[in-house]
Formats: sequence, C-alpha cells, structure tokens
Amino acid sequence: MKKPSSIIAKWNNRSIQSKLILIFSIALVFIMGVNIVMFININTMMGSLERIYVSNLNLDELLVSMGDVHNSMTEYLDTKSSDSLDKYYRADQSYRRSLETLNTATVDDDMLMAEKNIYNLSIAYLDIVEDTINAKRGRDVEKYSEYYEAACEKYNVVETFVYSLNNARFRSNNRDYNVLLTSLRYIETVNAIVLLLAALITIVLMSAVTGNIIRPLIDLSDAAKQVSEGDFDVEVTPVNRNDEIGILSATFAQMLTSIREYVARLGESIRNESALKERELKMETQIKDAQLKYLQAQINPHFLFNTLNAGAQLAMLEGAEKTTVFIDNMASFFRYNIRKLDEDTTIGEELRLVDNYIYILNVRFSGEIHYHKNVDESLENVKVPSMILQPIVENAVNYGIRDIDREKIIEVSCVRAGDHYELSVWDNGKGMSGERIREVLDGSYTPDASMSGSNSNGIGIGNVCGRLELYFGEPGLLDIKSDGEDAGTEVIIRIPAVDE
Amino acid sequence: MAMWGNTPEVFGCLAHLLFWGDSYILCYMKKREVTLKIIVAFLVLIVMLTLGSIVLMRILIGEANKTRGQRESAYERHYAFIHKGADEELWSHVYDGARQRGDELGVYVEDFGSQLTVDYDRDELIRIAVDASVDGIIVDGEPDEEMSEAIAYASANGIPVVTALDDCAESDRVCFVGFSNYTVGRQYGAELLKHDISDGVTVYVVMDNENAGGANLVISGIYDEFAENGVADICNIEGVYVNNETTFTAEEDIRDIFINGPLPDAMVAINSVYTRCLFQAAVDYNKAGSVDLYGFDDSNDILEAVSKNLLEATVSVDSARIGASAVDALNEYAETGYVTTYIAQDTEVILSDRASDMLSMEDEEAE
Repeated sequence: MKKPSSIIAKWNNRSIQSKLILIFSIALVFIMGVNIVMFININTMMGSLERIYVSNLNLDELLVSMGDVHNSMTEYLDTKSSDSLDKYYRADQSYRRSLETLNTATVDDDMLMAEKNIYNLSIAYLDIVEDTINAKRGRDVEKYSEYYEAACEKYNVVETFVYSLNNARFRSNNRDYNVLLTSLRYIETVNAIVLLLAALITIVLMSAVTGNIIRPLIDLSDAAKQVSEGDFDVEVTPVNRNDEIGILSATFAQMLTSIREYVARLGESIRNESALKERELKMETQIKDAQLKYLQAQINPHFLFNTLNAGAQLAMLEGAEKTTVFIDNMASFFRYNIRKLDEDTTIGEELRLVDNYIYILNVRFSGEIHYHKNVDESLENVKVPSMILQPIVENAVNYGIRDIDREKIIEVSCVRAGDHYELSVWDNGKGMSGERIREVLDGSYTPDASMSGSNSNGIGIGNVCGRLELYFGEPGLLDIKSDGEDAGTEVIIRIPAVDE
Repeated sequence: MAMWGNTPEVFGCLAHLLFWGDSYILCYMKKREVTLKIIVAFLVLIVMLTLGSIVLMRILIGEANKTRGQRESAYERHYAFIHKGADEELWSHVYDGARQRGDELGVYVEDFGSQLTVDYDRDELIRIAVDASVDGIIVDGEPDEEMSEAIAYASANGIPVVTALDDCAESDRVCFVGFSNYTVGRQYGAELLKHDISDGVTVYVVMDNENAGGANLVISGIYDEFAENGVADICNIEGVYVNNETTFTAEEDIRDIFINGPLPDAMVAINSVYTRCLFQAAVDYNKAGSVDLYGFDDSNDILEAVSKNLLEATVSVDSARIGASAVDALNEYAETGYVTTYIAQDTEVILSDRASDMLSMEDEEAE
C-alpha cells in the first residue's frame, strides 16, 4: 500500500489539468455509479411488474388451447374428417403441454390448489373427449352422444375453474401490481433524492477541490492587486505544490522580494539625493543672504579699494610710512571682502584677514587691543569656508571688549585637537550668560541695531554656524564658552580633520 | 483488501487531498472539518438510502412473489370441503376447524367451489371434486337422491365422503359427523319447561323443507320432554315452514309470522340465520318479551341477544370440532379402510349469564 504522504506528494506534483481531469472523472464515476444502482433498482421493479400478469396470460392461453381441443372434437363429431382428427390430436398435445405448467402437488396455497384441480379436471376432460372420439370412430352413436354431453359439462367446469382462477389471480396480481407500483413510485422518489444528494455532494466536492486548487490563485490575485496599489509588504502564503500555481506563487513571492529590495534601494537613493539637494539649497540661501548683507555693507568696496590704493601711493610719495602701512592694511581688508563668499579659502588667509582687521582697529582705537596669535603653521593650508573667523573677531570687539575699561585682549589660536582642528577666538571682554550663549547658538538672539550698527560687517555667528554645517555636513561645529559677566568669551570652531 | 486495513489513514489522506493542501491546514482547518462532516453525512445518507431502497425493493418483490403462490408446503392429502352457502358463519367455523386439523395432519382442506364464478349444487361439486382427484370429501349432507348419487359416484371412484352437520343417510357416505337433533329438541323442551306452562303453551319450530328431517327430530325431542313432564297434552308444538328456495325469502317469511300473527308463546329457530331473523323481527315489531325465543349457534350477535334476554336461550354445538372430527374420520378411513358411521358432538344450552361470560372472555382474548 502506498503511504498517504506519498499520495499527497504525488497529488501535489500533478499539473492542474490532470488534477481537474481526475476530480471530474471521480465525480462522473460517482454520479454514474449512483445512476447505475438506481437504474438496476428500477429495472428490477419493472421486470417484476411485467411478470405480474404472466399467470393471467398463461391461463388465457390454457383456455384457448382447451377451446381448440373442444372445437376440433366437435368438428370431428360433425365431419369425422381426418383433418379434424389430426387437429384434435395436435390440440390435445398442445393442451397437455400447457397443462404441464400447472401445479399438481398438494400445497398450502389456494390458487396453486386451484391449478391442481384444473389439471386433474382437464385430464378427466381429455379422457372423456378421447372416449368420445373413440366412440365416434367406432360409430357408437349412443355412446359418443353421451360422452359428448359429459365432455361439454366437463369443458364448462374446467372453463369455470380457469375463469375463477384467472379472476383470483387477477385480483391477487392487481394487489401485487399496486404494491409494486407504490414501491416503484417510492423507489423513484428515493432515487430522485439519492440523485439530488449525489449531485449536491458532487457540487460540494467539486467546489471544495477546485476551491483548494484555485485558492492560492485568489490569494495571488489579491496580493497582486495590493502590489498594484503600491503595497509591497503583502505576505504571499507559501504553496507547497509543484503544479503551475505552486510555481507561479513561488515566482511571485520571489518577484515581490526583489521589488521590495529594489524599492528600498531606490528609496535610500532618493533620500540621499534629496538630502544633498536640501543642503545645497540651504547653502545657496545662506550665501545669498550673506552676499546681500555684504553688498549693503561694502558701500562699493571696489571704489573704496581703488581709492585706498591711490591714498597709499600718495602717502608713499609723501614719505608717510605709517599712513602707507595703514592704508595697505585697509586695502587688504577690503580686497578680501570683495572675494566671492562661495569660494573656499584657507585658515592662513582667514588669519591674515583678522590681522588686517585688528591692525585697522588698533589704528582707530590707538592700539588699545592687545592681539595674540597661537597658530600651528602646518594648518594654514587647511581649506575652510571664507569669512568664518573675521566675523567672530568683530563680534569679540563689538560685544566683548569695546566698552571695558581694562586692558582689551583678543587671542586667536589654531591647533589640532584629535580628529579636529580647533580655531579659537578668545577675548577678555564682558562675557556672556549661558542663556545668551544658547540663544546665539540656536539663532534666536537678535542684537540691538545700535550694537550691530554701522560698525558691523553684518555676518552674525548664526550665519557662520550655518555655513560651517553645510560645508562640512556636520552640526555643532561652533561652540561658545563663557564663564559669565566680565569673564570673557571664547568662540571655538572645530574643523573636521581631513587626512590627505 | 490491505488498503482497507488502514482505512482511517487513507480516508484522512483523501480528505487532505480533497480539502486542503499542506499550507492551508491551519487557515482552513475548521472550515474544512465542517465541510468534511457534511460530505460524510451526505455520503452515509446516500448509502443508507440506496441500500434501504434495494432492501425494501427485495422485500416488496419477495412479498409479491409470495402472494403469487411461490410459498409452498406439501401436504399428503387433499380433501374437498363442500357446503351450502347458507349459514355462512356456522360453516365458516366448521371449515376453520377442519382446516386447522388438516394442517396438523398434513391434509389440505379446500373450501371447494367457494371461489368459483358459477354457483354449483353440492352434488355437482361432489362430482367435480371427484374429477379433480381429491382424496376425500366432507359435505354438508342432504337426504336426497342427487346427493346420494353424487356420493355414490365418489365412492365408485374410490373417494370417501363424510357428511357433516346434516346427513345423507341413504348414501355411500362413510361417516356422519354431527349432533342429535332429538337431543337438541330435548334441551329446548327442558328450557321451555322452566316457564310456567300449566295453562298450556304454543311452540313454533321454524323449519324449511331442506332441514325438515332434522326439525322434526327437534319437535320430537321437545314433545318427549313435555310428555315426560306430563304437559304434552296441553302444549301445541308446530313446525312453521319458511321458504328458503330463493335468497332472502326466509327472513320475509319469519317477519310475516310477526306481522300476520297470532304469535305463539315460544318460537324455536334451529339454525343461526333463523335465530337472527327471529330476534331482529321481535325487536323491530316490539314483541320482545311477549314471545319467548330460542335460538341456535353461539356466534357473537346471538350471544349478545341472549345476554340482553332477547333470546331465552341458545343451543350451540362446537362447530370447529365437527370440522376437525370430519377430517379425522376421513383420515382414519384412508389409513384403515374403516371408520365409525356416526360421530356425535355434544350440544350446550347457553343462558344469559353464560352468554355474558363467553362474550367477556372473548373480549379479553381479543385484547
């Protein structure tokens, strides 16, 4: 016997076509089987119905046969022809053969006993007929007349017995016929119910089996619909079958996995691209903002730069050396300022701009500002965004040391600190509260107009902070430290070290 | 066959193939189980209905075949039971007794001629039975020549004839089974004497030509009973003839007695048909009580009439016993070649109390 698991495996490996053919064949055989059983049932009943009246027909034939005997005897008595005698002998033989079908035993059945009576009466009748014929042949007129009368009486008696039995048989057969007819109708009803049930069971079986075959297809179709609506997270129930649907399902699941992976990669790529674009956009916005502010602030720096150059040459012709240096510094300061802000610069150039700026301020404020530098010269070529140091120094002067009466000190340092380069601007000015530091760093602090006023070049710490983040792609590169009121302020810029 | 050894496993597998794949077991288990149960129920129903219909069909066909005479049990002998159509109930009891006794002895007793479409006379039926080669004949005798000739014809063909209830004494019959009409007359007489008849009494005995012999013996019995009690001289016992030549005329003649009068003090009917006619006429013409009625037979309606005192008394004979004795007589003759020529059966007088008891006993048996 095959193991059930192997039958299941065999079934699962069949193609849908062969599965459907097998199922339809089973259903067909089932319905046909039921039909055959029903057909045999009804056929048997019909056979029984047909046989019911056979006994009546037999009795009728018996009567006909006996009539032939009687007629041939009468004919012979009338004509004494050899033809009629021959007829008589044949009729006698035929009648005796017919009698052989009758019961002759004594049994417990009224009708069979009637048959026995008919048989014996018939034999008595045939004997008397034979006596009549013999008497006729012997030309014994008296005898054959007497025998003929006796034969007629016996003929009537036999006829009466046959009629009576025929009637009794007919009544009995009618009862049987009615019983069989009723049962035939009952069996017809049962057959109809059985057929109906068979049809029902076939429908249920077919829908169950075809449903089982098609269900994965429906699941697939639902999954495909969800996928078409953009939902790639649909779960495809695995089908452990090797038919077309099994293959389709597995392939679909694989395709779905591939699509998910592709979509994930695409999404990542789009996110990256949009982050890049966003950075660029922000950078552009910041630069535009700075440029606008510079344009407002520079008051035509080209004209000023050219004028200062002319002034420097004039001072040199006149031998005013200090004036020449001063104007050179002014010229350098403005030259740097007219560079495009979106161009990169180096730490060294930024420091030189601060040098120029402090020199100018010291000329202006009679050398009040004590400026110190602590620079790792190896870092002078590190690339940084332009205008990140001078605005911080400008702030240190304007908000730190301008209004203090003590010595005004500004220190700028540039050192390597781990994986960063650290640019630091320290002043010994008024210092800042922690709250103010937070406001400045998150960009919510707006200085008074009087404070920022005409003396500022207008690039705030927020701007520097934003450009550093956009440039290096990291937040928090600028930090402010202060111990509070009159404790000075240190602004630290961390430049990520790039190994070249 | 080996496959059926693992039927549950195979069935489970089939169910698996039909209703769920491996991957659907958990999802559809409950639903599938319900579907499976429904399908199994359907299958069982179909099988039961089909098998039931086949079995029923076989039973019905078997029954039909039985009624068509395929049920057979052989008998050794075949006796013809011939009686006149009148007094069917009494003869029915006699026949039942004969049939029952015949069954016990392996003899088929046929109610000969009862199913025929032509109404033959008893003597004709005897001849027909002889031609039908029966082994013996029980006949309701009649003391006439035709009957004697018919019995002689049977005897000539070696077929013994036993007369029952009524005899054909002047014939070749081998035995008569019946009761003594004279004794019955004595019993009626004794019952009549229970009434005060010191002023004389008129008694009608309803009789016909056919049973005139028996009726006269009844009259003799009554008379002798009266004589023995010394009242015969003051009593008048008459036989009243009714015409039974054509059907239903006897009943009309009995009614005429009530209509035309004068009514006697007592009337005696010597068979069950005349008994019924008597008490029915007495009721119909409001004469119950004014004339004492005496009946014959112990059928239920007669017993009921006795219990209600419509009849003073009825005389009954064990009719089934008569039939059985007739069969015994024929069998004895067939086996030994001899049998006693007269087998007498006792008769019993039934009065009101006894009638009530018999009826209640019958009711209990019926229940």
